[in-house]
Amino acid sequence: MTAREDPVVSVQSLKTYYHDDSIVGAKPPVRAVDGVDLDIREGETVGLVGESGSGKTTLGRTIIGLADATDGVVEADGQDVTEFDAEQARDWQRRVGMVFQDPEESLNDRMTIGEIVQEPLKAHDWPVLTVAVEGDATVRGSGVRPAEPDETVDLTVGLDGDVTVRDELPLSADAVTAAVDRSGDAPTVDVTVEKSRAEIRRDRAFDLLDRVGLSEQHFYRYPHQFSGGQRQRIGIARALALEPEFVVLDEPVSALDVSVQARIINLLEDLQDEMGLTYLFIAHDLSIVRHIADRVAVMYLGNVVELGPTESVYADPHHPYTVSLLSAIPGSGSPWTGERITLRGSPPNPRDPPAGCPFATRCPAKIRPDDYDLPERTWRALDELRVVFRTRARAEASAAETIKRLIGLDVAGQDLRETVSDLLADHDLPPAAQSTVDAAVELAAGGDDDAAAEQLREAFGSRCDREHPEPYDGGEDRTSQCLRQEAEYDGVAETIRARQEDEP
Amino acid sequence: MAGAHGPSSDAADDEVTPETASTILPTESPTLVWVGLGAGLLAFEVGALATFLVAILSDTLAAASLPGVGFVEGIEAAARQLPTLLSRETVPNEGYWNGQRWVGTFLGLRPEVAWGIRVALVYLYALAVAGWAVLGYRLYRREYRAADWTPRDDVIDRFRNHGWGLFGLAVVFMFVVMAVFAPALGPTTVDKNMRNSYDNELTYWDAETDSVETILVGEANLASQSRGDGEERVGPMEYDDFGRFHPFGTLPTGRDLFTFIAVGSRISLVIGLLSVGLSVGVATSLALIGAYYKGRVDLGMVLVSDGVMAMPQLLLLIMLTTVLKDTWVAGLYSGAFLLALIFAFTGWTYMWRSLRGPALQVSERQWIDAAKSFGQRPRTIMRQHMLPYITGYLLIYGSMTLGGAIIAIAGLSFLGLGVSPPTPEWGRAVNLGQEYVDTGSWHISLIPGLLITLVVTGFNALGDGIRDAIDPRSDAAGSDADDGAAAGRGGGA
Ligand code: SF4
Repeated sequence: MTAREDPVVSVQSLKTYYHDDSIVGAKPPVRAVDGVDLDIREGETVGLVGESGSGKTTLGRTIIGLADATDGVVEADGQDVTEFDAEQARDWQRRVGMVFQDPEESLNDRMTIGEIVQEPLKAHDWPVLTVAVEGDATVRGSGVRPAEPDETVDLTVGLDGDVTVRDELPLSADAVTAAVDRSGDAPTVDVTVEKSRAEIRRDRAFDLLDRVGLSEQHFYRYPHQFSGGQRQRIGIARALALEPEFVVLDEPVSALDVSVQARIINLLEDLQDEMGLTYLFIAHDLSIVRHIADRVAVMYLGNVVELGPTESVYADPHHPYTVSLLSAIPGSGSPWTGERITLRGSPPNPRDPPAGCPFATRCPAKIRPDDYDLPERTWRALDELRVVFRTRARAEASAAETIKRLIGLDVAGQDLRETVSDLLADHDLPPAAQSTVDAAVELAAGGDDDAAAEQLREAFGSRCDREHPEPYDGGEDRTSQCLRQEAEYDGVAETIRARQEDEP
Repeated sequence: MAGAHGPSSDAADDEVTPETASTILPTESPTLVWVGLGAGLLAFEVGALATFLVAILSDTLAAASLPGVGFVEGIEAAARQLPTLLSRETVPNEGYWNGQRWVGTFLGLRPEVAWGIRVALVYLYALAVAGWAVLGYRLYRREYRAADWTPRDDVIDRFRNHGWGLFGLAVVFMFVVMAVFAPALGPTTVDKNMRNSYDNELTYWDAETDSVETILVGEANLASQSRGDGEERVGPMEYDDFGRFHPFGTLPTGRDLFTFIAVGSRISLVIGLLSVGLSVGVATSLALIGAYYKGRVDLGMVLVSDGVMAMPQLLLLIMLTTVLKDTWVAGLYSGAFLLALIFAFTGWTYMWRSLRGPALQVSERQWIDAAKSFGQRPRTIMRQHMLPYITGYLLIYGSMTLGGAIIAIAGLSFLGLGVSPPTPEWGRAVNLGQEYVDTGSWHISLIPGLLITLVVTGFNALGDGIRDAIDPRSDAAGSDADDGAAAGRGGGA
């Protein structure tokens, strides 16, 4: 597949935050998508990979117009999709499609397959046939309109009354008559279509079912009567009904049996070739997108941390997160030969992402400050301690704790000290470091967990904790958001390997 | 709601439906036969139907004081001339004994037999119409519907095997038939026996003088009162001194209780349907809109409904009926229309509460997102993708609320509020008879009381049946831990 340079959709600094609807006690918003740049070029497939909660589905939904962007731009044809009003959004949604993850859930089971596939057509009063006339002429007739420049032309009418119908339409030229009237200044063409819209829609639905590997006999059945794979085919037929240019595939195979997955992927690839579609293929792991994606974007906590041509990314991952994902796929062909990298901890709360690099809390290659020379495991223990303080700071304080804090009593100091000594039990801290830790614990015991966390960050944090990395240009059409791209630092893979060797 | 109706169930359908249908209609063009049957059935009641439609028209014109009332009344008179086979005129039960035989009754039969025949004919006719409708549905399912299985088929099949639900359906059917055919069912008419009893005469056999005499109906009523024991009462299935047959006995005023009840069922049904229809309409639209837009819209509705719920319903009723007493609204159908409006105004909140949960649940389903993703309009999404999933709940709560409305109307009349006398209403019959419950005239309170209980139970049973048919998982609900949930969902009334 050749990817041309025209972006069909250009996502620029996009942010989508979810706010709680409640009026009282509003929590900070969930930053599902937190500053994403991504161009999707005509005819290509972009694989969007990330664990659940990384914001990949939200990104897809924002592009389609199912979620409201908080900030940033989704540009298509020079227009900003996020600024569209309801009618413009409808127009946009006519030109894009979406296939959903769970075919059990995405089809209304009170409707027949025929109704489901025809629904998008009905919603847009399809077809209003676009007519192009050779030479200058006025077009009249019901269910037709003159084609705009650059628009797909459904009917081409010659001034001798000859009609050609676009191949994709289930309409034969015999069913269309064009009467040319030359009496006025400019000729007028009266177009009559003898086939009703309902019939054209029905035949279009038959055609779609055929394309996705189902048949006419399925038209009057209900979703209950189909298997998961067949239902997903129906979902695909529906998404393609309006001949979209761009389709978001939201984990289209992850709910299906492994045996069916490959067939659906092949179907999607065939359809792309036939119809010249552009795909955004969302998946939760890297193994599936390898076959279908031309480029892959790896998402973590609302950020696209790495982006590049699939083969190049697999062969030489630049971002530590990508390295860890690839290390989990045996035989992925990645240069990573060591043990599988297990990430420590769990992803941070998207309501309260880290201030610096989003991956800093779990990064196996995190940059360490030069002030102390500690073993990696001690650094991690210190990181974890900071997470403890931050979590405490965010947790709702009970009324009793609030009162204690107000009158200056020890807030759960006993538990805290135990946790801290457990964490740092078999680590040797230099005296300076030890006293910083002690001071922080005292602050936290006094109730000021924020200050405690801040103090640890000051003392033991690095650039990774302070700076949100911008996408670095990695050459070959690649970018990655990691400070280790800067020349002064060791490479990601070698750092991880060296640290793995350090640990027994 | 979205139970797993397996594809296997359509196999069973395929076997049953065509077979039964073809034994019923063994012709080449079953549809024609079906239409013919329908026309035949209609012919029996052309007159009544025409009178009814024209009467509605003239009432509307009169209420709106539009011109043309006279003209329409002309048509009304003409419509009355059309023959109606099941009318009191065709099978009369009112007549007199002339010493040797009954005069004026159907085929000279005794009044009770003539009346019994008419009642039986009416119910047979109604059954025939119902059977005809079922036949039509089967025909459609077999011949015209393109899909050979739909999720609704499973619901209907499950309902068919639900004894309690079928009992409810039967009771509701009897009740509705009584309401629809009320004028033909009573042994006499409201007009003759109650409203204008002193304008109508009655011929009877006077045993003392051994001769045929005439008397004003009103005076005959005075001599047929049920106010105690023995001579002072006309009990169920008895004749009074004037040769009139009273299937349910007489009221303390001497009027016929059966006629009173038959006509009273009409007003109960009309108020019930009207108020439930209105509140279902309001509740459904609000539930769908609130569930679709969520957030503040939904919150606003919660506030409004809480506000309405906080108003004391009974006080509101008393207040509004008093305030609006002399307006035209209160005049419509003896105040029944106003009652229905008030019931609807206070009742939609409960219905909306019950529907809100299911509606919110459906609104989270992914097919809603799918519909949004290709730009489907909100209204279509609500109608096509959400409404079908709450219609089940609508039927359940609607049916149960209807039972509740009937009991509420009866309760109001019992208290002397609500439908204004002399329009018959069941609750007023209970009220009129309460002094005599411990005497031989026990029937006055007991019969309408039992009927109210039966009808309300019937509506609730129907609701239960529909619920179990829609949601097969609730089958087990009667016995185990799901009980609370099931009861909670059933508490719509
Ligand atoms: S910037 Fe630092 S923390 Fe973030 S990925 Fe790179 S090395 Fe890891």
